[in-house]
Amino acid sequence: MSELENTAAQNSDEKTIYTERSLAEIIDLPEGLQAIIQVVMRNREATLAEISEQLNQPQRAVAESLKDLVEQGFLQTITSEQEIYYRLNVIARKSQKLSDQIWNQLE
Amino acid sequence: MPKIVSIHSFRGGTGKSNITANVAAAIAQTGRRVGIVDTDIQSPGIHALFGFDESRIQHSLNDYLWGRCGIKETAYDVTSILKTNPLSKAKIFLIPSSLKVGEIARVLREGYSVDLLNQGFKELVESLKLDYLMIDTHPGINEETLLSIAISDQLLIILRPDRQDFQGTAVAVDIARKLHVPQLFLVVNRALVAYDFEALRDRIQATYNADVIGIIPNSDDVMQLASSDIFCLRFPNHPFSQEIMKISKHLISH
Repeated sequence: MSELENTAAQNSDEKTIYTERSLAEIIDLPEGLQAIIQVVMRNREATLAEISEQLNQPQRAVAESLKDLVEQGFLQTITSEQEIYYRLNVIARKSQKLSDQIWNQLE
Repeated sequence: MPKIVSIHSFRGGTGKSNITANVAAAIAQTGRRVGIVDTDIQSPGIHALFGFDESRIQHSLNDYLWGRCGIKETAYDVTSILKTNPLSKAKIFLIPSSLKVGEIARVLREGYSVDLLNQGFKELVESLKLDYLMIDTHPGINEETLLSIAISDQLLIILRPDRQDFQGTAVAVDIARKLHVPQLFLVVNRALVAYDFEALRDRIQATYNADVIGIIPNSDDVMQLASSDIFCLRFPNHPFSQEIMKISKHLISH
């Protein structure tokens, strides 16, 4: 695990304030952040090095964006065999405002 | 390289599931391995075309999303419908969604993990050695369909020659472009035979700046079958089937 990867992941872990985000919110993200999410989505999980390579962008810039996306709650980090992987942290459909009574009738 | 193909429409009733099943069958008939996932969890229906009802579905996509089973257990081998040579490499698998009211309500109420669904797609492609994973989406633009659109190699948007569909399709095309879908194709369904198909194709291509890879004529014969079978397998020489073959060939060759 490189120092860059480690720092990005640690900083993100410390500052995570959002829980899961919704997929619809991805469309409103700036193009650069959206591109990173799409690489993660298409690969299901990806390391900093993989994302940088696929986007043909320097690791330092991508690490900053990844930190931002984790802080905003769009991505989560998974550590496996000394590698940090980025995964989506979004849920399809947020909680509904319909009353519990109606939902309970349907179950 | 396996391909993920999403079939989408802005409005319901475009014949999306029927086209998905027929195109999937046509691709499988060429000796390829095809999986179909019904991600229209709120209003599932494609299983009917393969002769399934709730009693035959032991595990559905819903069970996988709630952690009750692995994704592979939700895949049903429906290759027998192809009636191909047993030595053929052709395979077709169906991953249905549940028709139970409680299951549909749970998805509406709680949502599901997009990452888990994404993982399921990947596992299906790998474990079933698929050449094509076809995703039958829920109509309209909603959170459930965005993942399917975003991870697709090819997106097929179905529309009818109808003003409401035309306007809605513009939105779907716009979203697909924002999500940088590598290949976006349009298919017009239920075109009246009296139309000038070439003029219609030119008009739609110019409007959306996307290729129209099929114009399927309106057909009473398809209506009569009432989703009880895969039409192109039963009537391969019918104009509907010929257009389905054309669409399939286009998807394979791009």
